[in-house]
Amino acid sequence: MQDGLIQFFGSLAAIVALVLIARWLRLGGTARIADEAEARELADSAVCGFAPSRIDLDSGGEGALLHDEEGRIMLLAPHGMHFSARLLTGTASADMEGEILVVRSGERWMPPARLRLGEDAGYWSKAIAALD
Amino acid sequence: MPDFDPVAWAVPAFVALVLLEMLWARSRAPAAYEPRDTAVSLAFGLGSTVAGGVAAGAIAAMLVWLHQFRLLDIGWQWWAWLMCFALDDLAYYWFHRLAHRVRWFWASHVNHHSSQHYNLSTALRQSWTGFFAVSFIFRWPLVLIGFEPAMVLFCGGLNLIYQFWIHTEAVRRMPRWFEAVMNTPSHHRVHHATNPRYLDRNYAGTFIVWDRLFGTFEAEREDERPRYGIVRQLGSFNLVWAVFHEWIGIARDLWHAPWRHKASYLLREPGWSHDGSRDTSDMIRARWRARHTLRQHGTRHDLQGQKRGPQPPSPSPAKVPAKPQQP
Repeated sequence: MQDGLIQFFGSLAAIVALVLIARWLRLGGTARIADEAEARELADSAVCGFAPSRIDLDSGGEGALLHDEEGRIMLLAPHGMHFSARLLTGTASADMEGEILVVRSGERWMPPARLRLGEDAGYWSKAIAALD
Repeated sequence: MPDFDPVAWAVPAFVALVLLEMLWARSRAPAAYEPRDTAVSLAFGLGSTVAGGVAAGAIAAMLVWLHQFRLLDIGWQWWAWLMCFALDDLAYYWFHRLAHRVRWFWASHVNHHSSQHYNLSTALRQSWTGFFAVSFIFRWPLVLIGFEPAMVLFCGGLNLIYQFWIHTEAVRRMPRWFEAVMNTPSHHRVHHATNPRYLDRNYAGTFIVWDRLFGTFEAEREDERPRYGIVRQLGSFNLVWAVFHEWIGIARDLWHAPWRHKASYLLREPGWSHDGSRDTSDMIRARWRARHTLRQHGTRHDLQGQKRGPQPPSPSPAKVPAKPQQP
């Protein structure tokens, strides 16, 4: 029992140390989408064959919204150094907070994406509200 | 039964090697690590050690009980260790293959794949629910053949230790003879990739020969960099969600599915749905292959056209509007 506890707390200390070292070494960072071509590639890798007809990138590249000819809307939301994609459904929502469009996929554990889309935000807000 | 767990003794080496890889990443590939992802992976590792410790007694007792029905008395001869290691690796191949093809087993194994990073900390991203998923039954055939239960567990531990070092992008390729026989970082990168070409390939633990033998081998290509994770990325660093998300998904599907389809949500491949609304890896690959073939065919056709000389202009395709109408 005592050996088990030593092993547990020793491992826990090692985990904390490794995570702190990773931060100290400045590993990771923020993922950014460079341009529409990259957004297109990310969308296709998430849903094979997704061919967007409209793409709007966050002004800092920290996410994107994409529309295809079938009327599907895809959110590319930042997740650490990568992006996670979601085809939005009727459970999704989009609300303006100042100049930021806050898009919630409807999944409880997925943080909302905060996108600076400029004038295009209104289009997406309506499009997401219109989803079934 | 002797009580010795080689994995527990390897933990300090795991920690030291993760640290070394972080130092490599700092100068060569800072994006290889993300502190929150690392924290989740290592917490998975710690939790799986606790879960494994709780279940170890029951698993060992079952193996000892089954051993009384063995076909052969193999004992502790030196060659038995080699055979046991090789056959345990074969058993691992089939466990691992089913862990990707049967949703019940996938619900536990998905934990190991849910990081979008591929580094040594990913190797420690082990399931907490393996015992619940009855993954241990894949070791039963070995004790029923006649291998000693302690030998089987020891070889399983060595197999797990071997698999640690192959979770890295720091090693590109090993010597050709080694790549031919052993599982390597290159082969296992393919296994962790979500590219349609790479999905559900390279199930090997230690020896890649099983994939070559059973037709599931895919070589890593220089022109196709692996993208890691799962088909539907988690999008969250919440540890509890990461551990249980697929089990919760199964429970929801069982609740909502028509009676005649309920068992299929447990036993069929991940992504299967009775109304075809989701994608399995086979469906994704088929769609990708069809498009890939079409592109190749189109390219050949274009090249033939160029060889024939200039062709009359074809009518312009309908222009896709830059932006669709307001909803």
